[in-house]
Amino acid sequence: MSGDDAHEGRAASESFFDRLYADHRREIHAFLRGRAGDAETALDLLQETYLRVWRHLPKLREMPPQERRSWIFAVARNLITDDYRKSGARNAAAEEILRSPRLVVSRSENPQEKTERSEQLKALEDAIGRLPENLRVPLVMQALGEMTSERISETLGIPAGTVRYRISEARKRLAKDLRKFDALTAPEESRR
Amino acid sequence: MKDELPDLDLSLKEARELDRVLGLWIEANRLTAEQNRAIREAILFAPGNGSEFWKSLLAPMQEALRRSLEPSIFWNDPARTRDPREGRDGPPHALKTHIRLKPYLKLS
Repeated sequence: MSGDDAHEGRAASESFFDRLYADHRREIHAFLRGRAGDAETALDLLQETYLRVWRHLPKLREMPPQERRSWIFAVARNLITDDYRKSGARNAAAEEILRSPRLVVSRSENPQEKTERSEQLKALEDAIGRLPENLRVPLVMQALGEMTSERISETLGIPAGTVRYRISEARKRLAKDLRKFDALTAPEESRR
Repeated sequence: MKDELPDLDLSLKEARELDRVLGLWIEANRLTAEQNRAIREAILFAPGNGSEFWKSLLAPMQEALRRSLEPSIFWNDPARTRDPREGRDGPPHALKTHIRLKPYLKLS
């Protein structure tokens, strides 16, 4: 193989990889985020998933497009299962979202608003972490992955009606948790 | 068909508040362009990934370098040609087997 041929082959592979990444990353990330419970693990597993995609590009190229998505999800599912085995059951109360440099607040916010916003996010993060996995995963896939209940249903292999019910139940529980949070953080005077 | 069940147990205000805080959470968790770039680069330039490509580019240069070493540019370097068994000026022909390519020059 000449240097030019190798270069063209590499460029074609990168282009195909980029397309697979662009097409599926959001859904895969949302699935992993829902299952893993914390952002860092989800990112690690997303990278690991796509590392396998890269190593199996010739195989993926031969597949019909609709099977590629299933293949990538199967890899992500296996990786999260392995991760569960390694780390035990996760009940993430992820602190790390607050440490994340992406938690950027707008410059117009005053320190009190910043604090409130951080506390709300922390409360929600904790509340999402406390949700049972069967409620958390569809909720995160819908919210972060922007997936419809039909799409979630296909991915998780459960009826779309069940997906809708679980999302609704997850929202109800989150709201209940946030109500508690509001009560806890309200100024002393207003609680009397 | 509506994609969501109504939040029957939540007041309108609560549902809106929940959506607002969820929006913040989504924003904080969404993949950023930097993260996407970092993931892509980590995968495409990880050791062992695409090594065939780099090998094909480097092979001619490495072969040329190897050939240039064959006549032994080190031959007259006393520090390299000295055989401890032969003393300071030991015969060069006894030392050929001591000359090795550095590991990072090897292709395999």
